[in-house]
Amino acid sequence: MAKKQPVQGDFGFGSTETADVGESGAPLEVTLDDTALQVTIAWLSPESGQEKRRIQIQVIRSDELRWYFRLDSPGKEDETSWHRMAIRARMKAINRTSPVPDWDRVRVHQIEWNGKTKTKRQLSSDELFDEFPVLQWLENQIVRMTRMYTQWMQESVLQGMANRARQRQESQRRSEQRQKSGPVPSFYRKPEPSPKKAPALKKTASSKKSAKQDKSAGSKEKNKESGETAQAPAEEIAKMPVPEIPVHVHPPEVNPDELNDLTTLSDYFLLEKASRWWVSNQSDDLLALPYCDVEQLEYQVRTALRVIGPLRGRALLSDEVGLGKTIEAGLVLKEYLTRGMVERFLVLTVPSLVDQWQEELRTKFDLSTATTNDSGVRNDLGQFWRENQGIVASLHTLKQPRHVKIAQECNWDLLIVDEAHYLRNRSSQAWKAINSLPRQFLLLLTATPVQNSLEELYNLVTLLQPGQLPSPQEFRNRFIDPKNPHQPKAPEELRRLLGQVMIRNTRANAGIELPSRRSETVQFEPDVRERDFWTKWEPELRESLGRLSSNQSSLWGRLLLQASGSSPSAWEACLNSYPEQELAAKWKREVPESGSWRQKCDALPPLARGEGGVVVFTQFVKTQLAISEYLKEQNVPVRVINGQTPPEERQPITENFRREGGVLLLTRSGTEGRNLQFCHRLVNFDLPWNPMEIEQRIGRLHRLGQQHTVRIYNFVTSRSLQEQILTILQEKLNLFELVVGETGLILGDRFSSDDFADEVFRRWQDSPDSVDQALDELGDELAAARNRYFEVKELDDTLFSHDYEEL
Amino acid sequence: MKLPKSRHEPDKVARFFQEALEKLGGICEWSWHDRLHVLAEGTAASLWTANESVVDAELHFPPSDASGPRRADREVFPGCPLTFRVAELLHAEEVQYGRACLDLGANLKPPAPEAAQKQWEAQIGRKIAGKPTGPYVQDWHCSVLVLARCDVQAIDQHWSLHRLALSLPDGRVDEDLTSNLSLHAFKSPVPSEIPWSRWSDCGVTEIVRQALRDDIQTDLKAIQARQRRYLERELDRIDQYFRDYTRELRQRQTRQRRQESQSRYQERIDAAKAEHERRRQDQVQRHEIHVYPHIDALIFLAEPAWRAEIVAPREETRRTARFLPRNRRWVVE
Repeated sequence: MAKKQPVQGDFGFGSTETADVGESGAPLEVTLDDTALQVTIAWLSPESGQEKRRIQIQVIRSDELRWYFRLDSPGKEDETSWHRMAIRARMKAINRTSPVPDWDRVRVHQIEWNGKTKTKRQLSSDELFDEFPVLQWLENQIVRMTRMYTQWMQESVLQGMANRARQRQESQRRSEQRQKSGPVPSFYRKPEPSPKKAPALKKTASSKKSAKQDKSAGSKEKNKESGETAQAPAEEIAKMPVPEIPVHVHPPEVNPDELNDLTTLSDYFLLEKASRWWVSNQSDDLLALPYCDVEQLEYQVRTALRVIGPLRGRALLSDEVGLGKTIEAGLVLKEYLTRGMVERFLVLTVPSLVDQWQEELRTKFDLSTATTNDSGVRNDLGQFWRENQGIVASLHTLKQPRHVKIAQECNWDLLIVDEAHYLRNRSSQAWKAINSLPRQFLLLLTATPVQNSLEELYNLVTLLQPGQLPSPQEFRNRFIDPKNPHQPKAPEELRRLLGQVMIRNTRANAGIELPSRRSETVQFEPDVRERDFWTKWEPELRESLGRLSSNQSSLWGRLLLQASGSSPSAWEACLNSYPEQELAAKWKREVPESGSWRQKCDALPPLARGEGGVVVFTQFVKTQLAISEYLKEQNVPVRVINGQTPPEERQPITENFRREGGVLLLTRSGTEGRNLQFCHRLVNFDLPWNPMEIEQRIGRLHRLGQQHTVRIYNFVTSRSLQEQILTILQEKLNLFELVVGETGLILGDRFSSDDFADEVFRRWQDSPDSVDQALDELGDELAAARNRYFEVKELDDTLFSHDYEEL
Repeated sequence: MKLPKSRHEPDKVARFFQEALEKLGGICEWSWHDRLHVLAEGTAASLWTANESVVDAELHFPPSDASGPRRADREVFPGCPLTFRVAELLHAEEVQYGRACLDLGANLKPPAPEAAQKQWEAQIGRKIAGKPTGPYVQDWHCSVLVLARCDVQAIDQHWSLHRLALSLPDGRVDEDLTSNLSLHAFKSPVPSEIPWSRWSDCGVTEIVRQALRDDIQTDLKAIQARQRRYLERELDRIDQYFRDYTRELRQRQTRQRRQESQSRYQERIDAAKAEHERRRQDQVQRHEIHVYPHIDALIFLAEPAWRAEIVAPREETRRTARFLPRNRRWVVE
């Protein structure tokens, strides 16, 4: 039965007109127009199917949404910000007067651009995310449109930067040409004359020139010569043909003086075997490939062959992020070991990656190594450096005098330097340390070989092949424009020189295409009691931490704040060891039952029912177990992998999940080495304060072999510290849009993995009354770092857009 | 026929080493499943020493993926020097040139005339005027079996191994002998009536060269394409340089007032053109592909055949053809 409700004052119009849409929600037609960044919601009459009401929400500019209302009278307009709370509030208000129905009465259309035209199609039920209520889903779609706008804007900015760089380059090239050829003759400035008139015009121009330059002008010969000169540029423009490559098959040396009578060919067949082994022993292919546990990607194998072959073991591997430089270096190392050309090798990397390198060498290439993280290192440095066949060391450790002194006394067959952009300054200790190590083969790995100036490239190449580039002064004169240190003066020549030491694979030439990924923030609203408790708890915690030492304060602060955003059981488990037990007990007594925790868990079963299931990441084992128990009560198939799961059981568990779907619960140690590209839904049940850890999680699903758009759901409690951190990571760092591997490059020098978490905690602790502002400032730093990274990336793309791997 | 490369499997390469060292005069005994104890003297000992004294050594055949340090004089691993050396010792030791006779059985009968005619029509048809006429006379046919390693030198180097059986004198590849060589038996002793001298002037060198060129065509296409890309890049660079240089010279020439100066510039322009051409030629030469065949074995294989005369009545010419009972094919001189 229709129920008329006044809408006066709901949208500030003062209108008394109503929309008769029924109490239980009329059928709904939703149109998602990705091309216009617009969501249209139309309520239909159940009897006639005609539209009773329509609202259009469109993204018009940064942080502004326009809402068009069509009631019975011509439409009204209103504007709100992009903030999710604002959208939610508006949708709730709309729902009060025009209730949205359940999913069974909702029809959704999508308008997309297929490259040539717009297409409109209805989404099937499989494509709809009916895991959420319709109202929440509508809110998510509006937020999605705002994200698309942000992405478009960024792409436009980057495109603009690229265009400007190209224009600068073109302008510079023209300027150089003008310098070489002298003043541009006046006839070049005129439009091209018609063929009939050409000779006369040219004659006139050259006559004028001759009259100026030669007082005895007027001879036919001069005119003829001038005519030839005028014609010369046109002759030289045509590209000269490339001749066919001659092939000379030389006659074999055949000189049978005496022919022996043979009654059997057994000796011949033995000789054939010998020839066959002789030829097979040659090095056309990677001999070690069958013994490496890697996906055999063609561009990686080709790169390894090129390093071993023409580049003779000294190369700068500067593939784009995420293409597997580590794998390429590992293939080269394994090949050299297999051929007996290398006995001792040293891998140098940043401290946070030492263990990861050791693990990769072990699992993928079956190579055991010692590392500078091993406990016995400090006891006997000499033994460590001299007696281990393979070592993975931190670059920061190596450059310490007591380490480098011993390392210099060893003969290294192969040095691999990861994150080699730390060697861009040849007066740095790191560069000098590497330069002083005796080595036969050297690999430098970096995705960004040039960050500030071309001279950095010079320093890297000089490590590889001293003399490959001219002297520093000559290099500067030949290639660097002081006014524009980013753009080389002679890019072609520089590329030719670099091609002899450098390999750069790009996604384009490696044929790597990954589907997109989309992230959504799912907010959970605590009830009043819960909200009040946590609001009171934070200052008490701050005060308590102030009484601890600074190390303890940081440790406990980060742990408890993160645990509070994870689950009640994780938080309580952490409190069990907290130094101030009385206070901890008080908190445990006072904490109310967590409604938001239950809401978070309730959001999982619908996701688990989707095709391929869902992978849920959490930092805490307690949280993991609590979720597992909850899901089991709901009869949701659930599997758990954490640090306590025996290694031999992890793969079978993963396989079961792959076959049967449901939920796979992972902690950080359970994440390592898991390839989950068969699944495309991921839930960050809690958020680590280390962005690279979040990136690692995403990288488990968003990798080669992924067929679908990866959906990332970030669960946060509204108006919490976690939500603020997520907002920074999402909006300032664009964490969820970056390629896996780029986060580390962006955070790079400023923040190592723990530094970022420390920084967040420090700002929380030092700014009790202005945490928001302090975190916003951190966000601004991240945004600046991100922009800086994109500038460097654009520079490297401009410099190295040629394919160095044209084999 | 290009012979595929062998994957380094320790047991297979170990068996080869045993067979080779025993052929070279060594005594071999397995001391473990992957260790071969060798007592060698003379040629076999030269695997380790130059003075051919007695050598007592143990060869180890570790798994291919073993990552420990290698001992190049005692271990056989992918790419190791020992494998090259033992193969080269065999090449030097073994007979590279020989002659043998295929054993097709006793009491060989001439082909039935109708069957032979049908085969002629199916194989030759109208390519050659005339038909074979009897009587069929017993004769001999010869093919040359070649084992060659081809060294293709381009920007990088490639090696491949080829086995070819080529019919003489026409040089056509005999597919049956090439592919199924191990299935054939040979006469013992080699019949003395075989007229070997008939084939000594067949131009075997050229026949072999052409056949190898045809056999490596597939490999050559890919190598040529790659070379072309390299050459194109280098030529573009040279052309661009001389374009700019010549343009500058011409601009300067036009600014000269005196005839003498203009002439000098013209000489420089002509010299630049010549230098440009020379540099292009130089690059083309640098990018040439050279194939060097190394013959490891060359064996003349004779087999019984039936000779017939081919008469073309209108042309009044006579040719000789031989019918090979082995594969029931005609070979026309």
